[in-house]
Amino acid sequence: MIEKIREIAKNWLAEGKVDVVIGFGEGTTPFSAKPIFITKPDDVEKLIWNPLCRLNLAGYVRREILAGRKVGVVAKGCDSRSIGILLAEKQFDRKDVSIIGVPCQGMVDRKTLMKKFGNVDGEKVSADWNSISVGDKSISTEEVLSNACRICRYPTPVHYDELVGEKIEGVSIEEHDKPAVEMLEKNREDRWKFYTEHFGRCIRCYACRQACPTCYCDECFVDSNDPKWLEKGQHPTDLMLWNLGRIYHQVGRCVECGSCESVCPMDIPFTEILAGMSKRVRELYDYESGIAVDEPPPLQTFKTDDPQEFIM
Amino acid sequence: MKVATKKELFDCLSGMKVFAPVGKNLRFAEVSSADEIASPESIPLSPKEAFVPQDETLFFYDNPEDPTSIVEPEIDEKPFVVWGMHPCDAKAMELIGKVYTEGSYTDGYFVRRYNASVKVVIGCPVPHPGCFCGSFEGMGPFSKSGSDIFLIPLDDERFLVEGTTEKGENLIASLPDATDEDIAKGEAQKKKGEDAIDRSVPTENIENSMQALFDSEEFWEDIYHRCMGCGMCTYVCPSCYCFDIQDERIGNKYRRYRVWDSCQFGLFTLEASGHNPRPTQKERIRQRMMHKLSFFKLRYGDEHLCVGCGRCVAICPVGIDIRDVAKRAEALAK
Amino acid sequence: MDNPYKPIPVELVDTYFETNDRQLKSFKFRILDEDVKKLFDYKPGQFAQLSVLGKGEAPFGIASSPTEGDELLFTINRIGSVTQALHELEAGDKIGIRGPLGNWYPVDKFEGSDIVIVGGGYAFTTLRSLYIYLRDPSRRSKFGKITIVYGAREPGLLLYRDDLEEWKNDENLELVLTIDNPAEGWTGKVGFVPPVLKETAPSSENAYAVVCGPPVMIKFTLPVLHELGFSKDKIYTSLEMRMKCGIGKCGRCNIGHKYICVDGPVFSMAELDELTADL
Repeated sequence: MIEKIREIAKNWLAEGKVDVVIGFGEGTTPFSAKPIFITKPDDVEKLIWNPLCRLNLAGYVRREILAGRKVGVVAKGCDSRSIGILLAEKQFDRKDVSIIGVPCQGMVDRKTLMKKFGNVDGEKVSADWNSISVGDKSISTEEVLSNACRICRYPTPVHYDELVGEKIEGVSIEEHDKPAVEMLEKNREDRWKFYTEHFGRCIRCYACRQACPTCYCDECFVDSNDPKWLEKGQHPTDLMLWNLGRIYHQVGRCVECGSCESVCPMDIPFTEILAGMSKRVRELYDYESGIAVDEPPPLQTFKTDDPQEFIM
Repeated sequence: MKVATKKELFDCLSGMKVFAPVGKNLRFAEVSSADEIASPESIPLSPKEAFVPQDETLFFYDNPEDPTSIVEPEIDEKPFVVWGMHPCDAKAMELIGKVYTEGSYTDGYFVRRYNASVKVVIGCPVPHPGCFCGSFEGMGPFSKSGSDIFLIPLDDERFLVEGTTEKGENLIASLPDATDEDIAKGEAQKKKGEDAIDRSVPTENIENSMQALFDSEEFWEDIYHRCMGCGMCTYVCPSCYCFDIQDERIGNKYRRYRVWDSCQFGLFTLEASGHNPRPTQKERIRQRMMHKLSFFKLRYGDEHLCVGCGRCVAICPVGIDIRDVAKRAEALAK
Repeated sequence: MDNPYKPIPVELVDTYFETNDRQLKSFKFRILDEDVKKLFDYKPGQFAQLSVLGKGEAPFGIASSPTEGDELLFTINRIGSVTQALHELEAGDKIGIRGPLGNWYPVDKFEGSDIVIVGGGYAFTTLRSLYIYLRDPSRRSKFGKITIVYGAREPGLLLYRDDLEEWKNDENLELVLTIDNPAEGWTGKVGFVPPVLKETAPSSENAYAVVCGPPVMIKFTLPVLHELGFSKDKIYTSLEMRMKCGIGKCGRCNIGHKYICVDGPVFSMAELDELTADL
């Protein structure tokens, strides 16, 4: 599979179809793959494809296109949906991006891995779609999948120019909605407890925002000084406002790639919250973000027959 | 040289608040018993928040129109314990101390906390992911600099305990002496760590190599394209000390407070005019690397602002690796 | 406890618009506590942090000279939330101040030399302080000829017009004022600062130059100064950057390995050349 990815990338770069191919390369620490930007055809050998290629690359795609480059990208299902939502929001044109779609078997959570294996400096580490191993110790990849990948509805890219590999079916709506239902079935007190406990740990490094392709505002509400919507300190109210505020801005836009959760140094379980949000949007507006590129997200448009029963 | 279990040592420190890594994220927080203290191999977040809290009130005031209503926060001068720092962390606090005591202005908040603290430092027989403290002159996984009490883990239960300052010695005086066997075991642990630690990162002359590469697109493009611009590296770093100052209203009271800030944020240097001397991630990640491996040493003398703790290396979601930056700088500058 | 973050109270004595576009206002403050007043010992080029409680703090160059008495003068461009709040102050209002901060123009070094002061736009605040300090009767004879080249977009945007008028009669001072485009009633020069400086052609022999202004003005002024024979170690400027603490702790205002707040804001061009910096 990786050979095919490299071949397409190489051709696109050689033909001048793209200026840069964004994909993943080997990281310098155990269990890491890092985003890389390939501009020379010969460098495509640096591209890798394994269950550590966790991050969503669509944010880089937008940034590079706005910088005037023709962009190629190695995209999983979620990356392609993020590109889809960015297209729906008219951030760039479809012709600006060339997508090597790769059906994804699910990415692993690096933090879980680090906890499972502890210190692994100097030992031989390998990661493939069946197992992750360090020295003689091995665990199944399935066991350490990211929460978001466990409930992925679209492992196969929705938008692509070339598709590499066999299509993979996503989970059913019922399966997807399980954590969401659990979350929504909590009573108010429990849900409040969940929020205060998890958001209360936030150190405001803003990694969730920076990793999110749909968090692209020039000035984030949390950074606004005039008006100053919230304070910069560690007051629980501000931590709550920041996290909920960011999440609200993702209604109908989030593709549940799980990047925010994967990068969070404080292990805030965003997936459980975001899955519920997606469920509501799907039920209310019959909309799944990033699928139709010509249909704006529901909260960015207005129809006279929009459901209103949730408005008090 | 003494020997103790976690509990025995904890009992020596009774009467003082003890901050140690606890909870889901092993953050340094107050504990009330030895059992609560995690014994992690690595601590993803540094103990700096025990010395430099993320959010700290500089003063309160009742009336914004009356600057004579300013009241300083009450200061707790009582000794407290920070348990479970690593040698790199103890060094990092010394480095922050250089900044906070330099020149005509002394930061009383840091200084009184630092002076009131009893630093219980644990040596590292097994390096953590990304660690390279041994690459810095005079440092290593068993460096005692900046500690009051130094621990060497002997097994799952017991530590070799050494008072490295008078304050530390007095506190552990009642503990039983270590046997020759314990001491030998401690030496073996120490050797294990010293042998394993990464000493391959060039640091000796790196400040000049970095200076020479300041304008090199070739050098920086390897990292800045993928830098997402989050502040994780700076927040987990034990020696990153930059802060922001803000005013806020809480009920009927107001306060001016400081919070950790990060050179990775666009807002960090954005001026009111709209001008930003560091407009993109290129200038921002460069600033961090330069501060760590060049600027600090050039300004404050003989040490770098990096202690090789490896936290930023281990946590960076896009694989930006300061070890790699130093190695490439050295190679390119040659 | 050492608390260098705590401001001292000052009272606003007087405030008025400095420019015709009402974008810049001048403020005269008086330190309330007599003992503290004695400690506020400053030199031209230093700055202070003004605190509007509830809004925040911002750094401003001190535009008065210590030779002028107790009142501290600041001239402030309304540009952000703190400066907006400052513009709303009325005489009698109290705010906080921290300072004096930073280094100053090396006036001791200037003794026995000619001095060329080049300013543009709003950046004349600490240059005012400098000239008033130098022209003080107790000190003036220590310096040679002083040349001031000061430009603004239009006459109404020149700061301190009353002072400029007064200085016109000063001995051993060549005062050259210029505006970008001709204006009715204007009798000074017309043109940007760099060519006007070139035309004025002050001697660089045994002379120092001090330049403050917008980056583009500085950029085109430096070659003129070099042409006139000023070496980099004889040219000084004052830098601005976003600041918070003002005392070298918060890590924000570095250029290379120097902090503008404590190692500056005044630097010679030779010093700046040594720094790797984002400006």
